[in-house]
Formats: sequence, C-alpha cells, structure tokens
Amino acid sequence: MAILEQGLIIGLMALGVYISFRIVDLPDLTTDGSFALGAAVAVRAVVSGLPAWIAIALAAGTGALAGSITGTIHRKLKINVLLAGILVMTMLYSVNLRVMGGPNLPVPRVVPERATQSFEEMSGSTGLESLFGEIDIDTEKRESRTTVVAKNIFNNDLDGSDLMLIILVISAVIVVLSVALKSDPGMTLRAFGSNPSGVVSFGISQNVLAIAGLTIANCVIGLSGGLFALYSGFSDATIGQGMVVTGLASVIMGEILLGRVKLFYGLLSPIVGGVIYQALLSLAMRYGYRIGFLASDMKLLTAVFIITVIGLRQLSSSGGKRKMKQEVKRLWSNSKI
Amino acid sequence: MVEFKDLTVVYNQGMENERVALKNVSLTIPEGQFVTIVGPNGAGKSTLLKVILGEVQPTSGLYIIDDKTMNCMKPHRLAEFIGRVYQDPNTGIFPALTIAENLIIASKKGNRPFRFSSVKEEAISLLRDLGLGLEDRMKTKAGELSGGQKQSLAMVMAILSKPRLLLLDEHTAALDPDSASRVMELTARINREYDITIIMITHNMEIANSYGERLMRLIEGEVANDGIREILSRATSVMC
Amino acid sequence: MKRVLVCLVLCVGVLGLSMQTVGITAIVEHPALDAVRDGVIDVLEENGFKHGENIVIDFQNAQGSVSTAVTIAKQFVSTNVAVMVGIATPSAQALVNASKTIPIVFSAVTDPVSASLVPAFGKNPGNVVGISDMTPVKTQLQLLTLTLPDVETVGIIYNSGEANSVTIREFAKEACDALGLKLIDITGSTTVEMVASLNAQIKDVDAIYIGTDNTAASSIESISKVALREKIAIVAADIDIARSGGLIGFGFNYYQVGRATGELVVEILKGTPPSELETKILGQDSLILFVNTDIADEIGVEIPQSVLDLANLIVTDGVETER
Repeated sequence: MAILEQGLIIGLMALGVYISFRIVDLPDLTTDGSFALGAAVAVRAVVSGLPAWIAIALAAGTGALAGSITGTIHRKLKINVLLAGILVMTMLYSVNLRVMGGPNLPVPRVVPERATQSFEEMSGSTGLESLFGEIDIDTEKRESRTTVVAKNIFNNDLDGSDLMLIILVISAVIVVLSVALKSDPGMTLRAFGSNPSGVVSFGISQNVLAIAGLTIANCVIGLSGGLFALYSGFSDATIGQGMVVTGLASVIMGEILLGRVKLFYGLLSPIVGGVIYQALLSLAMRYGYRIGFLASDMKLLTAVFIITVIGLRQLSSSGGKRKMKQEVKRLWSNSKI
Repeated sequence: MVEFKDLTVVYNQGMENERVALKNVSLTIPEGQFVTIVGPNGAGKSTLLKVILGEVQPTSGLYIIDDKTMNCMKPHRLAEFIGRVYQDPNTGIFPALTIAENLIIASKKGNRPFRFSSVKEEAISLLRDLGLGLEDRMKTKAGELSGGQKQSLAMVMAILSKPRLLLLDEHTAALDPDSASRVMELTARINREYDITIIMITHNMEIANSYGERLMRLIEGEVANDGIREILSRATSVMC
Repeated sequence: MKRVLVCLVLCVGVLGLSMQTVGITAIVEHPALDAVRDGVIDVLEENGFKHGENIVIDFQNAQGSVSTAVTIAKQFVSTNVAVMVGIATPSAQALVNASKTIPIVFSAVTDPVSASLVPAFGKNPGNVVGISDMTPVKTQLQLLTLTLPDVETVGIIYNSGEANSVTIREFAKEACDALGLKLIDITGSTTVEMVASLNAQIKDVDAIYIGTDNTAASSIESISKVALREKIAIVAADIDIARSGGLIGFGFNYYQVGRATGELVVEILKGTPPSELETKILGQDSLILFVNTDIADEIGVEIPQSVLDLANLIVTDGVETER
C-alpha cells in the first residue's frame, strides 16, 4: 500500500520529467531543485497556518516559476539547456534553505513547550566547572519555531484515504494536461518537441514554446515535491537529490511496460514506471541482502539500467541490429578457419 | 516581387576566417515565377535562401519584397508568408504528430489561440490530390511515412497557408527516383495552379533542365548566368 | 523428502514470525552514525537480545536519500516491527510520521523538539523517545578561551544543510556573545566547498570550532592540514574529530550515544511503553576531555595545567594515554 502511495508521488515527478525530456525534448536538470522547492514551500506554507490545498498549489506555482527561469536563461541568454538546468538547480539549493529557515522543516505534529535548552542548562554539570567562572548567556533570541499543530492532508494511516487523495490529484493533473496538449497551443508544444526548427516555418516562436514546456514540466515536479513533503511530514535540504535520475528511470521503465505513447499522450507510462521503480527499490531493500545486494547498489543499478535501455534503442534504430548480426556472422566464419 | 539590390553578405567580417558569400547580387523575381538556382558548393545558394528567410542579415545592399525593405525582419515574421522544404524529409514535417495534426499546424501562421481545431477540408483535398492515399491515414504518425510521402506532405504543409513564396533546397535529393519525380511534378503543379513564386536550389542538372522557367547559376557569390528558359535553351554552351 | 522440506520451511517461517524485529535505520553510512548503530546492537546483545537467536535486527541505510528513508519507514510499519530506531534527523522524522503506535527511538538528533519529534525533553505521551547528541557548546568555547586567551575571532565550520549543526551554531553564537568573541561562519555543503571556504577565511580567524557536523567530520584531514599550516587551533565537540588534528576536544563519542539508545530499546522490548521513558542527553560521566600537546607545541600554545589535570585522553609524542 505504502509502495503504491509513494510510487505514485514519485510517478508524478517522473511525469514532469517526461514532459521535458520526451514531449518537449529538452533535457532539463532543474528537477532536483524544483522538487525540493515544492517540498520546502509546501511545508513552510502549512507551518505558517495556510490550508494544505493552498500549500500544494503554491508548491506547483513555485515549481513553474523555477522552470520558467531555466527556460528563459536557456533561450534568451543562449545558455545550453543542460547548463541552465544545473544553474537553476544550484540556485534553488540556497533558496530552499531560506524558505525553510534552515536545513530541515518538519510539519509540526507536536507543540513544543519551550525552546530547546543547551546541554549545560539541561544537565547542570560537565565536570569542568572548576576551570571557569560563571558567564551570562542571553537566551532571549531563542525562538520556538512552531506554535500550532498544522493540519496535514495526509494522515498516514495506510487505510486507503491517502491513496485516494493521491490518485485524485494525479488524475486531475493528467486530465488537465491531456486537454491542454490536445488544444492548438498544446499541439504546437508537441510539434516543437518533435521538430524544434520546423515550428519557425509556421510563425511559432521557439522561445515561447521552450519556456512554456519547461514551466509546465517543473510545475508538475514542484507539485509532486509538495505532496511528498506533506506525505513524509517534513522537508529537508537534501530531499531532491537524485530525483532526475529516478524520474528518468521511471519514464524508461514505463515505456518498456506500456510501449511508447498511446493513451493520454503517454502521460500514464511515467506514473506506472514510478510505481514499478518504487516496488523494485522496496524489494531490493527487503531481500537484496541475501544476494549481497545493498540498497546503496540501487543507484548503480539504476544508472546501468538507463544506459542499457538507451544503448539498445540506439543500436536498433540505426540498423545496429543488422550490423551486429553481420559482425557476429563474420567473426563466426573467421573462427571456423 | 522579390528583389535584391547590390546584396552583399560577408561572414566573420574583419576576422581571420572572413568569407564573402554573396557579392553585389542584384536581381528581380516577379510574382509567380519558378526560378531554379544551380552552382557549385560554396557559391552562395544557401546564403541566398537564408537572406530571404531572414536567418542571415545582409552586410550591405537591400532585400526587398513587394517594394518593402526586409533587411531587419525576424525569421518567424518572414515565415508568415514564406514556405520552405529542405532536403531531409524529417525537417519539413513533425514526425511525432499525426498527419491530421501536421495539417492543423500548417494551416495557419503565428501563435494559436486556445481552441481545438480540426483539419480543414481544403487540406484534405490537397492531400487527396497527391494520389498517395494519405487522406485515409490521418491518424498515422507522420514519422512512419516513407521519404517521398513525407516530402509530399511537407510540400502540402508548406503551401497550406497560402505563402507568397516557396523555397526549396534540394528537396528531392534524398529521395528515390520515383518519389523524386513525383515530388517534382507536384512542385510544378503547385507553381501552375496556385501561382506561388518558387525558388528552387538543386544540384541535379536533369531536374534543373526539366523544371522551372528561369535558370540562374551562381559562382563564388555572383550571378554567372541568368536566363529565362526559352532563351537559354536556344543558347549553345550555357549550362555546366 | 518434500514433506520434510515443507516442514522445515514452515518452522523457520514460524520462528521468524514469532521473533520480534527491531528495525534500525540511518540516513547515511558514516562512521559516527555507524558507531551509534554498533552501540545499540552491542547493548541489545549484552541484555540477551541477539540477532538470529531471539530477535531479528533489520538495518536499513537510506543512502542519503530522504525518499528512501520514507520508504524504509513505511516498510518497517507494514511489516509490524516491534520497535524502530531512527539515527539522525531525517530518518527519525520519517519514522515518526509513518506510525503513531509502533515504539520509536531516535538517536543522534541534537534538537528533537525543533525536529518535531517530541514536545520536550523528559517524559512525553506517545510512542516516541530518544537520545539527543546535544553537546556542551558553552563549555567547549570556555575551554577555548581559557587555553587561548588572545583569541578574538572564532570560525565555526559546519554544513548549513545539517539540522544538528545549525542548532549547535546558534548555541555557539550565544556563548561567543557572552564571552566577548566574534563568531564567523565557515560553511560548505560538500567537503570541497568546506575546505575552499576555510582557505578563503582562515586569515580572518584566530581559532576554529567544530561541532558534531558530519561533513566536517568527513573533511577533517584537509581541514586540519590547513589549520596547522596557519598555526590555528581546532577545538572540537566530537572526540574522533579532535583526534584527527584538534588541539582540544570535549564531548562524547557516538558509540556511547548508541549504547544509551540501546538501553532504551531494551526497556521497550521488555515491555515498558515509550511514554514512561525519558528523552534525554548523555550524562556527565560520558563526557571525555581530549588534549593534544604535540599540536600545542606545533602551533606554539601552552595548555594550562588545570586543563591537563582534568583531561581523560592526552596525546604526547604521538602516543595517546588514557586517564
């Protein structure tokens, strides 16, 4: 159950990656940053007393903003899209620390009675008192960070209500995106991804489309970050690390399982891929130790998996299979002599 | 309607790799004319097309369309009334989109309002006239078509929004002979029936000799030969 | 033969089912956090709870990924472990959010109140209890001024992305203000950044203070090289950090933190609910005072005799002696 819940949220993030990498054909590395931004913004909003729905909407909105910045510096400043993504992702690390007011921000579930005290205040003695005299510490600046228990939309009871909520959100996203992509402007976005230079012949601005594509993709990613933070109960500076690779692996896994495109412009496959990825990860953690497989190996496996799949695709598309067969035949006949 | 007055294009001016692509080219192409441009590599043919499309700015001289100077126009503005088809069949269409969607995009120029258009009747009849049966495969992805079919579709898309000018850069060079002649017939028909001005670049002398009403030869950035077909065909040693 | 096999499998399965599981998770593999885990396991064993014999200890490492930490937490809950141990803030938070009923013991979290794990130190209602690795910052800085009375500016090296370090930094600021010292932040989110920041700012500081920051711990070799080159003393809160080039260290080691945590786990396994146990910091007897006279000689500083008298570990002529 939990695998499904978390897998779907990761799948939503993979959907964002799918939009940029597959639909608009721009490899966007902003993901790690915009996911964390969504998480930070959502928790900060909830801590400030805003209802959870608004928190999630803000998460999506700020994700979109991040994507638009990447798109703008890529097109207007003519910076390579990979570099643009990395730059924005790096900027967001600092931004997120500011949003959270620190490296970690929990969704408050307990109300602290007072600010934390220092070691000496709590334990009274360190054994070294004989060395020093008394000094006066000004404790006025210590603030309690939370004053109210925030209302979360997830209750983490594994009773299905969280799952329903997640499915609801994802369904809404898919419906909205499908309608948008079917429309004329959405069609031009898909056209841009298919043949970026071709759109110019029909009077369509490449800048507008590239920026729009990255904005939409990161909006979805920010939304998934917000959902993830509320689901996990906290946001952390490192929450986005490795997300773009996970997203790519999910997209590829989804494509392998569901084939390329078809229903809803292929928007379902990264979500399915995300769930499968999460399930495999859980399996690896549970039983992997029996074959000496550590959870840490998962990263290596993911990368190897991506390389293999992409490599196989390259081979088959450029007639590589034929070349391979010829090569094998040649080697075989040579060895007979 | 297209005029060049003393057009000069110099790449990397003032630097070590300075290169003069076009040198004082002056010519006028009246509306509806079918011009074929030939010449060795580096003669400036592609540069001429780029100037027309607004992708390259002239270093000096004027680029005029219908008595209006076009020197500083942006490419996507010029694209509003210029159609183009290039050598690679995948650049004239959108492979990931269906034939229907390709036609919808091609049916207008500029940004689209939020709406759900369907294919215009006109587009379907144009497609039908190709005789390739594409009108029955509207939901097929354009990328799945053969090279010749792609180029035919690209041609239809290029003229769908009624451009004033159609630029063709070796558009049959990558096709097999049958498809190539089919596309050339289509090209000639487009010029005849829709009165669209056509500027075609080719390396294929057979095509150059069989199609078009005016043949222009560029060498090293200058117009070496330029003549209306009837006159030229009577000359003896004009063509390469 | 088949029947025997089926019986065996069933027996093992039943045994496995009937054995309670202790789920331990750390956010990342790191000497300090590994020491905590070892402390927990050793204490469990000393109290009769041995892995494979009467309990199953399931250790899961989140590999630095918060998403994995959450997955681990959910997995522990769905497999109904008897008690869960979360080492370091993100892992502990993931556990706490995954279950309101299964007993949770956190460890190596400096400020569990700000992390929203418990409302206060001491006894709390609910299923969460733990050990904080809160370190005596004020005392450490007092040691610094006692040993190096001419110091006016102290540089604190830490990763602003680590929750524990940010807490310690706030306490350090308070102490410095009271002692009349200026505090400068030397930060970095990776080893490379940290050492680069240090190189850039070393001329502005008279002494260096390092808390329990994990990134600093990983970078201590490079840090101590730079400090020694400029003849700047390092005062550390973590004994293992102090050993790698510090002048003075005052605090405890993480193995002890683990042991204290293990004791809580033992109580819970024996049936005591978490609400009757106290969330606390380590006591005075776990504190160790470490001094290195070789480094003192190298940077031209003399450690006061009063400090040497109270030291538990002294390094002289390359040899560490214990008192």
